[in-house]
Amino acid sequence: MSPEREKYQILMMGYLDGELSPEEEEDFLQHVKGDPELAAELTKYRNLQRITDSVRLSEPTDQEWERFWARFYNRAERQAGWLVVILGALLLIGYTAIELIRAPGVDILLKVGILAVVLGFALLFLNVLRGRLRTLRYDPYRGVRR
Amino acid sequence: MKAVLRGERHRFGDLVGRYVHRAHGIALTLVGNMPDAMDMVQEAFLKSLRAIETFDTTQRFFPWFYRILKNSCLSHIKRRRRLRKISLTSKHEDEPDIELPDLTFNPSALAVRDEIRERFWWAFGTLKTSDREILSLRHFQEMAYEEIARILEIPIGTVMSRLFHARRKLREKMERYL
Repeated sequence: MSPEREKYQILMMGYLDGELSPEEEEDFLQHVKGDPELAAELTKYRNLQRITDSVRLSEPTDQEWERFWARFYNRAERQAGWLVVILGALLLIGYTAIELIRAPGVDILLKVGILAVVLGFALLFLNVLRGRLRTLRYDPYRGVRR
Repeated sequence: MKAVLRGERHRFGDLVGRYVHRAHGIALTLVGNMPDAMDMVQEAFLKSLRAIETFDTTQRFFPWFYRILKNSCLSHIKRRRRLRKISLTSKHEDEPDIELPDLTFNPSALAVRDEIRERFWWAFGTLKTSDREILSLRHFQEMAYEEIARILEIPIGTVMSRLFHARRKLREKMERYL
C-alpha cells in the first residue's frame, strides 16, 4: 500500500466522522473522484458505519443499578473495615512481639520459636486468603449450596 | 472534585453518579459482559477514591479516571486469560491468539439479536483491546477526536490512524454484510 493511499484512507476516517477541516474535506473528495478503488472503499466504510450506528450497548436495568449502588457502598465500607482491622492486627502483633522480646526469664529460643510460628501462620493465612480472593470471582461453585 | 479533595468524601457519590454510565459503557466494550463491567467500574471508582490525593486539580477528572478504569479492565482481562489457561502465543499481550471471540465476551447480551448485529459483536469481540477501545470511544461514547486525543494522550492524527486500523480489521470481518 502506497503512503499516499494510506494517507487518504486515514483522512477517510475524519471525513466519515465529520472531523475534517473544509480544506481537508475538499482535498479528500477531489482525490476520491479520481480513485475508484478508494471510492468503493468509502462506500464500504459508510455501510460499516451504518451498522455501527445501529448497534447499541445494552444499559443495565434499574434493578441492576440498584444492586450496583448497594454493592458499591458495601465494598467501600468493607475496604475501610479491612484497613482498620489490618492496622489493628499489625499494631497488636508488633506490641506482642516487643513485649515478648522484652520479657525477662523467657528463653531466647522460645521467643524466636513463638515469633516464627506466629509469623509463619500469618504468612500462610495471607497466602491462602489472597489465592481465594483471586479465584473467588470465577468459582463456578460459589452459588451452590452444599 | 474540589469538594471531595477538601475532605467531603460523601460528595464522591455525586462524582460517581455523573460518570457511572459512561464508565459502564467503556468497561462493557473492554471486558465484554455486564457483571464484569459493573465490577470494574466499582473497582475503578474505589481505586480513584483511594488515590484522590494524587489527583492534579488543574486537570479534568474523567481522563484521570479513565486511565484507572482502563488499567483495571486490562488487568482483569489478563487475569481472566490466565485463569482460562489459554496459551499466550500472540505478540501483544492484549491481542487474541485465536480467531474466536473471547468466551466470556457475550455479544448477544449486548444488543438485539439479529444476524448482522450478532456478526458485528462477534467481530468486535475478536478485535484487540486497543482497537475495541478506540471504536468504543468514538461510536458508543460519541466522543469527538479532540476528546479522544485528550483521554488517550495521543495526537489527533494518531486517533484517526488508530480508527482506520481498527475499522479496517472490523471491515474485513464484516465484509459479506457491506
